Amino acid sequence: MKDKIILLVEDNPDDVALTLRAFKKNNILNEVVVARDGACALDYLFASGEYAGRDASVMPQVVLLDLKLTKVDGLEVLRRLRADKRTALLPVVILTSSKEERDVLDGYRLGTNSYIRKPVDFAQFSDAIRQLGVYWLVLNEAPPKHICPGISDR
Amino acid sequence: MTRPAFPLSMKVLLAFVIVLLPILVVFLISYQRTKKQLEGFILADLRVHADDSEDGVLTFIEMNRQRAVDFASDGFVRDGMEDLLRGRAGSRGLLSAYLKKNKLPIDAKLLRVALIAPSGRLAASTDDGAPDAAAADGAHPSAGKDDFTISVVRLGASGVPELSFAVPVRSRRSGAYMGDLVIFLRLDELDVLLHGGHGGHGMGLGAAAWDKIKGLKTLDIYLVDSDMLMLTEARFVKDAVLKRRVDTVASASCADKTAFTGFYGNYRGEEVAGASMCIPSLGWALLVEVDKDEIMAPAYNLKWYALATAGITAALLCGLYAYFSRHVVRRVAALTDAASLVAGGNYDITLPPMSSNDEIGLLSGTFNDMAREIKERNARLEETAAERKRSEEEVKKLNEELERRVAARTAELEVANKELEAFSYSVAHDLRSPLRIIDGFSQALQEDLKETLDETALDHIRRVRSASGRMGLLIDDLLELARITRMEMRQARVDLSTMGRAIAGELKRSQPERDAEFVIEDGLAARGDVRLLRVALENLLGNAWKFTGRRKGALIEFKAAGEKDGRVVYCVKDNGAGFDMRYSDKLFGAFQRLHSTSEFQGTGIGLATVARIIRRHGGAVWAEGAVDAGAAFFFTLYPDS
Repeated sequence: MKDKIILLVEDNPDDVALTLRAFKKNNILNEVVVARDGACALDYLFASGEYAGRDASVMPQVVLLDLKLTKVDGLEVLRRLRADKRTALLPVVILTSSKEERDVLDGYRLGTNSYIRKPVDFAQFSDAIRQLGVYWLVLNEAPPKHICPGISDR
Repeated sequence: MTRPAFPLSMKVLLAFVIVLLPILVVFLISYQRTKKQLEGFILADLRVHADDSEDGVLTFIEMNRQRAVDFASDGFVRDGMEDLLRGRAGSRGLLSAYLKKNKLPIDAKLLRVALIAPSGRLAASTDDGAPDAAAADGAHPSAGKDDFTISVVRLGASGVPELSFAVPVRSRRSGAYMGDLVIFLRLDELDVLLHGGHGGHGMGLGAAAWDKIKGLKTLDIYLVDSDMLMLTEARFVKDAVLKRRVDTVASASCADKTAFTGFYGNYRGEEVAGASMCIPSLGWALLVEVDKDEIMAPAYNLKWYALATAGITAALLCGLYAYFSRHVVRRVAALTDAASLVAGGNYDITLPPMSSNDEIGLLSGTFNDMAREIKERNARLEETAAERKRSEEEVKKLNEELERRVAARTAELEVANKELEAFSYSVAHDLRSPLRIIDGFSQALQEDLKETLDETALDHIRRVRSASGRMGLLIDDLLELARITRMEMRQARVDLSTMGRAIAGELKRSQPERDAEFVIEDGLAARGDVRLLRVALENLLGNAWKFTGRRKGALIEFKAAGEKDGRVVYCVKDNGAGFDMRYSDKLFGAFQRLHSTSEFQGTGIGLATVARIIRRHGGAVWAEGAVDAGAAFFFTLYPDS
């Protein structure tokens, strides 16, 4: 379970600190890769730019995606992930403070697997993170990592 | 111009023909009748004339017979004749002298008087030079009969045809037949009788009838003997006596001893009207003839008159027709053309002024007036239309201006709305994030420094967290209020009773330990947006639930409470903390609270949200209550149509 990477896309360092604290408090000890903006997240996932040379076959178990990001915003990141066959099936959970109906709709329309609004109350937030970890790292069966080349290249 | 199927001119022509036809027929019939009548009259006249002429002839014959008889009864003549037969010489001379002296002068027309012995030998004669044989040959003695004999002597002793009358002479003593006394007259005495004579001395016989028709140029009267030879001169042939044979229907009729009247071809081959009279004792026929052409002239004239009248009538009718066609039909046609043009929208038509003072002239004048009137009205209409168009254009311009303004205003509003949405979004996202950080790190402090911090510091941290929590709620409620205000309405039938029960169930489940009862009336329904109405009902029932939190036996009702302005009044009533009616106007304002947060939690947004939803449904909301005596919230919605 511990080799499963979590990609946290979050531009606010305070939020990053609190989220990491919530993971730790809930004994989720998996490697958490933090991308500070959308572009960075895409570079990581597609092993380009800053992350060129990364083993692109190693994909995170789940991507926790904030919507309000610098450079490339969260919905755009999601759109690009879903457009690329390598990341089309990658589990993405939108984790944001927005409860705007429009954001929720857009998120699901673009193919997010889940949409979670960060509660103001840290205790509630911590509990949400715990449930999220249990679900996505333990219960959820990830899609096959290697897609058959014969099919994918066709 | 469209041609009429049955033009007026044709109708007039037809009318003329209809009028003309009976006239012609009447003319024809009257002509035929007149002709027939005339023929009847003519034939009757001819017969009368023939009759008269015959009477004349018979009288003439009888007169001469009487004369002959008179002569023959003379004693001297009878005695002389007896002596002569006894052979007494000298008697012949005495007799001749006696006759010449005493008888011949009696009538100037007598050519001579002769006595003929029974042997046929001339006994005595007033004309001594005449050959006896010839004289005796010409006459036909009576041969002792009492009757007399008339003979026509072709060439008498006088050198012309003669007419002889022979009567027997009888003895005074024995009464025995002793020979004949013959008187001779010129044959043309008959002509004198019939025609008034060559010398012009009319006999006065049949004068009345004669006068009637003597003016006729072709009147022909003549006698024909039994051999059908003319005995008198005819008008159209000369030297015909005893030479010209007449073989016609009329002359032949006397062979059967019948009179004839009618039309036939005469001896000249001419068509004549004629009448024949027979003198049976002599075998003669008297013929009166007039050329048909002349006698029928009045009828023929009538025919010509009729034809001329018909011709004149036809010519007049043709003239009338031409006049009608030219003046009436053309003018009507001109009117029709003008009317078509007017109908087609050309109102500048003016018919040439018609000098005529008839109906068409009047019509033309009226038409001109009408056209002028239409033109004027049209002008007025066009003016009105133009005016209307102008005002319409003005209105249109104003409308466009208004629309432009509205569009500008809408654009402004849309910009404002966008800004508001952006603002809401940033409020939602940007304000909540720092709160979460504040709360998160406050909790981190609480947890990590629980051992080192004193109670006061920990209390401060708790207050910080509490405040940040309330601020989060406020932000959420504010966003909810904004969302409800701009949410698009979707109208539908909403079952409020079912909705109320569902909300009540949720509330009960949130605090199952509470002693509270919901009473929700059945059949509450309204038209509106189901999501908004649910938010409103959630707030109202939620408030009631909240403010009955400290009461044992809490009762929350949702029901209809009569009507107001024809609309159902819905009511949510509780027996909770209630409120002071003095502040009821503050209930529905945002962030207005009548209770402290420590007493009852809340942001003061809920009733403002309810009021906005009700207002968006065209309704009203109001509240009644008293402190610690519960509260009742009333609302109405759209009229339930």
